[in-house]
Formats: sequence, C-alpha cells, structure tokens
Amino acid sequence: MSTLMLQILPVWLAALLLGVPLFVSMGLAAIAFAYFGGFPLGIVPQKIAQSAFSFPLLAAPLFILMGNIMNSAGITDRIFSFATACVGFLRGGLCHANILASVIFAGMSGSAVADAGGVGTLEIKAMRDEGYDPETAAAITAASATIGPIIPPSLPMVIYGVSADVSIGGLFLAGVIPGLLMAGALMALVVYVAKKRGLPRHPFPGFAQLWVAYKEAHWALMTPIILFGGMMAGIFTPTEAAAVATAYALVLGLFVYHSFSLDDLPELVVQTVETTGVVLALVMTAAALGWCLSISRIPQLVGPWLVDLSGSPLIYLLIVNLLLLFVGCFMEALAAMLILIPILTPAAAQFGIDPIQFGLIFVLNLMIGTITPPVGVVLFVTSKIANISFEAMSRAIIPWLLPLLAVLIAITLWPPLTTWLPNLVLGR
Amino acid sequence: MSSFLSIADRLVRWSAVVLLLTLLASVLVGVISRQLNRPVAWSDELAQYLLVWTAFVGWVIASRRRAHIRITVLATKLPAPLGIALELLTQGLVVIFALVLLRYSFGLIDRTWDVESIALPITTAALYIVMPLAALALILQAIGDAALALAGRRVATPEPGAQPL
Repeated sequence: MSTLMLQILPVWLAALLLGVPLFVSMGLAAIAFAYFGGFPLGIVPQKIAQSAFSFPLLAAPLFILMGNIMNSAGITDRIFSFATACVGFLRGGLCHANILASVIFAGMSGSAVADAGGVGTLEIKAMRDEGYDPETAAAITAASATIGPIIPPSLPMVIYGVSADVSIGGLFLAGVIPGLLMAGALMALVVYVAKKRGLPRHPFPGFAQLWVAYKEAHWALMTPIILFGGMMAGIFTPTEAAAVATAYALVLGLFVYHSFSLDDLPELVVQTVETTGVVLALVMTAAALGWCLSISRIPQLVGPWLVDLSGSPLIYLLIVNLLLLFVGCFMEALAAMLILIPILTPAAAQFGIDPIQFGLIFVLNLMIGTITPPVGVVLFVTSKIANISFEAMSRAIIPWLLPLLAVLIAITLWPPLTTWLPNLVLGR
Repeated sequence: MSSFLSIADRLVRWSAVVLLLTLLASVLVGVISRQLNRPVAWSDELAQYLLVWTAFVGWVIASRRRAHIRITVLATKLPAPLGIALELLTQGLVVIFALVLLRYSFGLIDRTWDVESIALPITTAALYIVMPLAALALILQAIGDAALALAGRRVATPEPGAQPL
C-alpha cells in the first residue's frame, strides 16, 4: 500500500504544478489510490461528504460571514478612528494606529486577506494622505494583517484544528499572547524607524476626543469581548461563539450602524459561500486523501524517519520552521497546511511537542508566508491597494518581516508563550 | 443557453443564501435553547447537514467564478498552443473527478436511504443527495471552460482577494 501511495504522490504533485485545481488533484489522487488499491471507488465520495459533516468545521463559514459583515465600511472606519485617537500622538502615529487597528480587527475577523483588504484600505489611504510613502504604508499594513489569524477568531486555526484533530478553543487561546507580541514587536520597529526618519505625529487629542472616538466604536469593540468572553467563560464552543458573534455583527451592521442594508445581505452571503466552497473543497478532498495516506501508513513511515533525521525536538522544530517558511514563499497557506499536516504532525507527537504549540508554530509560519514573495496573497492585495508594483512591495516588506520572525523564534523556543493561557483556562 | 445559465446561477445563489442563513439560525437555536435549559437535540445535526450542502453549493459557485485554488504559473508562461492543450487536459481531469463523484454518489444514496439519522427524522442519505448535482455543475462548467480555452482565452488567475486566509 505504501509503495502504491509513493507512486501516486509524484503524479499528483505534477498535476498540481501543471495547474489542475488543488481540490480536484487531491480527489483524483484518492480515486487513483482506491482504484489501484482494490477499494470500492464509492469510498472517495463518501469520505468527501462525511468530512464536512462536522460541528467544529461549522465555525469556518460563520467566521467568514462575520469577517465579511465587519468589513462593511461603517465598522472598519470606526475602529481605525478609535485607534488613531489612541496612539496617533506618538511619533509615526499612523503606523502605530495601523497596527493597533489590525489588532482590534483581528478580534473580529479570522483572515489576513480580509484584514488587508478591509481595514487595510483605510489605513493605506490615511497614511498616504498624511505624506507617508506608499511602500511604507503598504508594508506596515501587510505585516500587521498577519496578526488577524493569530489573535482569535482565526480561520486557519479552525482548519488546522479540524485537520490535525487539535482543540480549536485551545488554539484560539494560544494565539492571544503571540498575537500581542507580534503587535508589540512591530510597534518597537516603528519607534526605531520613526526616530530615524523623523516621522510625523498628531497632537494629543485630549481625553474628551478619545472618549468620543471610543463611543463611536463602542458596539464594534464589544464583538471581540462577546466572542472571547463567551469562550473563556466556557459558555460557547468556538462554533457557537462564531454564530453568536455573526448574529451580533448582523444586528450591528443592519440596525445600529446601518453600514449595509437587507438588500446587500444576499451578496455578502453568496461571497461567504463562495469562499467557504474554496476552503471546504480543499478540506474535504484532503480528508479523502488523508484516509488514503493513513491506510498506506505513510505518516507511520515518515514520522520515525523525521525523528531519526532531526534527533531532538528543537532541531525538528527548526527544520519545520525552515520548511514551512520556504513552502510559504511558494504556496498558498491553506493548501500548504492541508498537504503538510499529515506529514509533519506525527513526528511532533513522537517528540512530545505540545500539539497546541505546534499548531501555533505551523499557522504563524504560513501567515508569514502570506507576506513573502513570490507568492504572498496579502502582498498582492496591499500592493494593489497602494497602487505600487509587486516588486516594490516585496522590497518594502523585508524589514517588517524581522519582528514577526523574532516572535516565531520566541514561540518556538519557549512553549509557555503558547501553552500557558490554554492550560490556565482549559485546565489541561 | 444564456437564459438557462442565468436561471441556474440565480437558483444556486438563492440556495446559498437560504442554506447559510438557516445554518446560522440552527446553531443559534442550539445555543439559546441550551441557555434556557431546554436543549434541543436536532440543532447541531441539522447545522451539520446544512454545512455539507452549503459546501457543495460553494464548490459550484467557486468554480463558476473560477475561484478554486490552482497554480497557474506554468500554464500562463507556456506558448499559446501548449497552454491551450494544458488547459484542455486540466478541464478533462476535472470532468473525470466529477464523473466519479456523480457515478458513485448514487450508490451511496441508495445504500443509506433506509438508515435514519440520529436526531432528525430524515434519512442519512441527505449527506450525499447534493453531490450528484454539484458534480454535474462541475462537469458543465469544465466543458464550458474547455470550450473557452479552445476559442483562445488564456487561463484566468483568480483574484487574490478571493483567497480565503
């Protein structure tokens, strides 16, 4: 069986590189395995349909819908104004505001691309209006957008949790500290750059102005509190929290902020279902292929080999980091995740690495991958918004990668950064 | 032909809206009923069936809008005739994949028809009932895309904004 799989995998990779849609190529690999392995072909459609019959996976469309609703103009405006009122008076104030707004938005949306395309559009425009060069504006926006899926809610973590069978609530909690560290590290770099270049600052608006900005954003700022408070207190599972927060966002957009009307709702929903289709097509066919991999015992072969190769957990994590960063440069994050989870997680388990820490390392690597050329979806989005070439964008992002890489090294070397909060709350 | 397409598109759009909003409502009913200490048994299961259906409708919408993730670097770099041949091969593989789903989903429906679901008074064949329709839509879309490729249209790269993560 494992020989058969090892013959199928190169053909599948070739099909993938030739441009066959990823979900089709995974489905065909599973079909080829069933056909040549003597299994009934019905097993493939069965695994595909059954894998979507999952309660944790329900969180995926709900978080996508919530992000789409939150991105409707009214709400992002308020968050960015509030962030500017908070930190705009520092040197390089709009850079700080950009990062802070991304942190707040990260608590309502689980996607880096949604962050870059939504609140990012405002951030880049505001910074350009104030005389920042478009490259810096776009680079900070792209770098801070990667915080989106690290601070909960997070679409990549839902997918990781479902595919690797790790607690999604645990992954969410584990992302809080690294997410805040990423913001802190980016802000530290802003402080340095602002001093060196003498970037502009706003006068302090006064507490009265700050209060006004807060009141404007109050109901939007409640979203992360509902989501997070509900999960921390054990009232909701992540899926239920997603439903409650989505309903809240709907009420907010329709009746409180009037940022969209009932007539706009169908298009928002159809967009959500489209994105859900892209995500779940991959998750479902990857589940069918995953079944083939486990029947052919590939993970049981690769796991011990990786353990022997690396020798110690730390060296293994180093290899995983380098591999994921490299793959992230060339492959879309979701695709890379679904392909590499069955290959990389068994060895991590054998080394006794906490599955939640490993999940965070996995996701953070791939999020950094969204802002590394040549294939970085967030870079595509921000370069388009800022109206600069992809090459200029790729050069501008380089210094802003360093703070994120520093956080990656920190969570790799020191497990409590990711495991302390989930252990505390979930009593693991 | 174009009127058939627009009717089909509208049907798919509306089923997407109804499915996802019902899914949302169903999970909410689960949360609220539990908070009121009168938990209902069917809400989670209903939401999960709806997720399977929503997923297949999403497959179709994503292939209509050519949003499925694929690596097009090579296909766009090749000279025209080779590029067209590659696109025809690709769409042929899509058809084969969808044909297998179409053919074998009927067997799954047949086999599970008499098995009742745990909490809902419906058959577990509900899991597979949308799959043949989705597979058929995938096949038609692939044939259409192949025809466009033959007519000389280059591979469209999906908008990066449509990328989910």
